[in-house]
Amino acid sequence: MTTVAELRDGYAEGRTTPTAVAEAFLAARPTERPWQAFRSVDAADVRAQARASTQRLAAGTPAGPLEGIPVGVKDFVAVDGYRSHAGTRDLTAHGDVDALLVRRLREAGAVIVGKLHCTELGLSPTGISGAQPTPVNPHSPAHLTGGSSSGTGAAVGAGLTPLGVGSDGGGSIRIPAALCGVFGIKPSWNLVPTDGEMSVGWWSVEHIGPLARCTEDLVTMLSVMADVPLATSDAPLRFGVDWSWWGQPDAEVDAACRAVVAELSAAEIGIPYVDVAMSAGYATSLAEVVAGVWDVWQDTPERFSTDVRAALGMSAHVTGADYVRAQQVRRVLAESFEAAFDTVDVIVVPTTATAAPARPSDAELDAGVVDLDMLDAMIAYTFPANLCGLPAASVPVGQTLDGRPIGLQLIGRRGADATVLSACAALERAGLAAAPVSSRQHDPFSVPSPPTHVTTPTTHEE
Amino acid sequence: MAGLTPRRLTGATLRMSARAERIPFLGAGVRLAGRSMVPLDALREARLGPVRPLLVPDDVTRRPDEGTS
Repeated sequence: MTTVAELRDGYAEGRTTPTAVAEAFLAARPTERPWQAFRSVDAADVRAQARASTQRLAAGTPAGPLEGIPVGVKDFVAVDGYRSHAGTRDLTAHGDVDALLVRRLREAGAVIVGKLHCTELGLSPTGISGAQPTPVNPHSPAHLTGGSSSGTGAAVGAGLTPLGVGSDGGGSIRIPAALCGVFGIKPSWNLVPTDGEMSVGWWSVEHIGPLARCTEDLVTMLSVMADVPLATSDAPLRFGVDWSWWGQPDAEVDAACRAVVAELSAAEIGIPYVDVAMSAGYATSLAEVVAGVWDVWQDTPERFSTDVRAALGMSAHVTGADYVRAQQVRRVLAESFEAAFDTVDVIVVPTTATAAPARPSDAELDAGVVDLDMLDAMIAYTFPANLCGLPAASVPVGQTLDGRPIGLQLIGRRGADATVLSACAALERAGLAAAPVSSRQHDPFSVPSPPTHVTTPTTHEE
Repeated sequence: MAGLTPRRLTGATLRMSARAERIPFLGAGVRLAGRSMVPLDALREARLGPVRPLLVPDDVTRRPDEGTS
């Protein structure tokens, strides 16, 4: 378990330095098993950033609240020195520019340590990727991480970095946060700029946000990414739950989430049209992705893996009327949420309907896997916040008997990101939410072995 | 029909689906055999009235007129 505060204390007390933390990160081989979280890490660049950060701290001139904190960035978002691939084999963008939010992270002192794996085109919410290695769940290597920000969930869950950048077009921050046992927030629409994100569709639903190991770190990172000071409050909050929407998740997920809701004295509410949100979300996001990669798909479909080609083909059956009707749903659903937020501050519902699904065999992963039950279980509760631009967080509220984390989703009114974060903090204070520690947790305070046998601790950008 | 409903595709079945979905006639066949990967039924069965679409998650309080229902 490592948080920004613990690293800051370590730096302030002279127990470690950004350089030492960077070396421990590189020695952990973050692109390889047992993590397989990072797609690419430029060791020389990481060392140079860490050295500069160490010097700033030694001089007593920290750049900002993230001085010396390692941060990984999803493969969708531009980082100077790295190409973006959106989880594909060989589609490329960027290379010599930082996204605005990455620039803000650097200006706050963060050490950008590499690009994180994600699922191909961000399509799979399970974490399965037929195009790149599928990251390993830090709590159970026999299970998936969730997606599409699969590498971000794996890295933060394993403690490789205390913070990671994810993006969320239909649950892609919240789902891996839930399955990997960390905190994640999809902010309100337009709070974090999407400038510098690789364009492969998702235009009307995509949000960029942080994953972290505690609420305080979410607040710090989101404030920096958005360039807006956010603060939590201890004021009492009114919680609400729509039991019809809640439905029947997996028994262990149901029990863990209900136990928290019972402590919150949540009021029973109704959210008309929420039952149509998943269908509208599919129609919206998949039609936009098909349009986003149409030329490549038509001309060189073999550049996509088999499961993504199947998804694109089926997505192409979304008609113009389907797409427009999905936008009609977006309006009536947004109005439903607005009405609900007249009586409550935060709506709670499980993040996913099951904990992490079983990881297919490597042979199956290579051949491609589409499991409709698995897909539905992952995104049963996540699309409404994307369609309506609402801030929505996932907090870890327990584990299954076999150790897989369980996430509870907290949704607020558009623009009420601080309220959602306050709800996360309230659950933490009450002992209802906490990031579980993996038995395979990375220790950033560890001193790496002498470099005699650490010859190639990282992979470099292709 | 339920026995023919594909819920999990991998290997050869998935490759066949990927090919079929690029051919509208065969693609429709895959949809008949089971629910498509894009579950549009709920959307198509919903009755919404002549609501003006909201094309991005903008502020619904600034909504224009919606026509009649």
